[in-house]
Amino acid sequence: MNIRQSSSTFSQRGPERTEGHIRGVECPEGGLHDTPALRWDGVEVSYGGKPALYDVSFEIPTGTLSAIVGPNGAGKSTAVKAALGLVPLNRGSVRVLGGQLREHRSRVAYVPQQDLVTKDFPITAIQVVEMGRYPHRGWFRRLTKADDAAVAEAVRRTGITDLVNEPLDELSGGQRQRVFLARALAQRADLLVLDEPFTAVDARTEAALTDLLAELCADGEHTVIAVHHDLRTVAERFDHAALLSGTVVAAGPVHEVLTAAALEQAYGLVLAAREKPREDPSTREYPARDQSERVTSAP
Amino acid sequence: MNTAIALLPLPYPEAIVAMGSAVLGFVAGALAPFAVLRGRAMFGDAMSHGTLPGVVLAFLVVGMKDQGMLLAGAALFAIAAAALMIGLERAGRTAPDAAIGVTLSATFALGIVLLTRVGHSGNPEQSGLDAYLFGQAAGMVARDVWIALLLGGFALLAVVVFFRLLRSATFDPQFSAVAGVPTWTIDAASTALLVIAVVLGVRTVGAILMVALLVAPCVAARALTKRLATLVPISGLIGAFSGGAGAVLAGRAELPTGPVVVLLVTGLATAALLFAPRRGVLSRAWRRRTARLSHAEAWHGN
Repeated sequence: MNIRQSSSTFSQRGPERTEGHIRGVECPEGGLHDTPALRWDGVEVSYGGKPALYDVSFEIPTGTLSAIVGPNGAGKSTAVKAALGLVPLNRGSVRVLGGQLREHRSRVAYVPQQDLVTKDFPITAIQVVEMGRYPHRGWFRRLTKADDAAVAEAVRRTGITDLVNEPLDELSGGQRQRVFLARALAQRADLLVLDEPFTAVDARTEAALTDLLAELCADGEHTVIAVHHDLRTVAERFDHAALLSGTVVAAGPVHEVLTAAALEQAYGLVLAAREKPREDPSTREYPARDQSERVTSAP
Repeated sequence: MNTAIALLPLPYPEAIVAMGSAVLGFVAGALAPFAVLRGRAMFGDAMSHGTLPGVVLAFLVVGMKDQGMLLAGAALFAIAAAALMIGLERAGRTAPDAAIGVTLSATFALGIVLLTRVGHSGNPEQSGLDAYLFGQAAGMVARDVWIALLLGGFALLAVVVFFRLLRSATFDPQFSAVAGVPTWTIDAASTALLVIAVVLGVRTVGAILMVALLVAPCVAARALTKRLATLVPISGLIGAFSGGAGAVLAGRAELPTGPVVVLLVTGLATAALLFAPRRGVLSRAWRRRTARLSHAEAWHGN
């Protein structure tokens, strides 16, 4: 069985989408949403001569809550960084919202891994949220009333109203992630890319934030891509997934991706070279959920 | 500037020294946070050590202690040291701390060799070059102060104009890169600010101890504020006070300026870390204690 999907993924995507497979919703605009939010084409990335990703080809359809999963060192973060121009591509190409990133910078909101953000930086929560408006307003112009409104709405939706004047370094992990998510919401971007958004976050906050992300995608216009490590939440809450292990093991609707065979291949490849993983996901069962059921739960 | 000097209750030469050292302290204190907050303080240390061979070589080329030329030589070598470290990190795959260690010791060794050769050359002009080791504010003239005001003012103006960009990129370089600011431009900008701070400060404080004037004001200011827009001026003022007061004290006590300035600024930083109203060690300990007491009260109350 060939579960490594690369270029074959594209040919499968078309019919699935026109059948309204993704989230069980027909796209009213027809062809418009056939443009994937993010698409990798034969991408290869290496760090200091060592290959981190090779022959990566997959796409994230517009309007999905998508996860990029895989074992440690699988290149999950590298894949999104490559898509956003943060690491150079050895070969291959990336399309962001159907074009080049530089054409759509203000439409892409990025929340990096927490350890890539400067620690102990003198900044308050509201100042972080306001950064979400800079891609629109630029580095020099004052924020407008419209900007303030977007910031206020993001603060309200993420439930950080009481924290706005707190210094960021005095917040808990969960509160910090709410602040960074608020920044992404304040940007009112079409594509949100979150790298490990739920590390150091308690289960309740994670559930609340995932609800918020699902709500955002429910209109079929917004796309959320999260690099994620918790396969169980992905199986339960996400629409679409890409399973990476140096390259694409599987990509598509969640229940097609998180199969025992694919997981074994993804995690097994690394197992051969590494020690025991923290948990062996291939032995766990994931409910193959009906996608129509998923739609009723989303508001 | 002349009115400011006239207002100081000091004799004219001493007032010039105090004024000049205060300006240098302000510039160093206000510019350094953009490197220090990113964890690049020691990068600045290596750059300040790297200025020494630049100063001596500039002297050898010109044949006299022309401040402008010495400054240019120092700047050139500070940039070269920065380039060497970045090159070692990127191309040579050396860990940042190792790259800093190699660069710092190698450039400083070169500086000492050159300085000793020049000292034995019998050129009477060379006396006083060794002041660049530990710093010497005495002998500062009005022209030095003007150079510091001009160069420092230019750098501070750039910080004000690009403040939003510098803050975003220092805080979250990845976000800023996606928003359209390549990371290398921020590296270049923060290195440039650091070069200006180091090159101006190194005459007063000396190549060896300059790093304290970069780090300590920022550390003190960090304890006193939660916003970068207030941290930068506070850090500058702490640097200015330490520089000005330290230079005058050192002059009167006939001590090298650098050590006096550094002891002063470190004392201020220690005081800020201990006594800062919200973030200080004592204030935190007090809050923990009251929290524990009220917790215990609630527990026993049940």
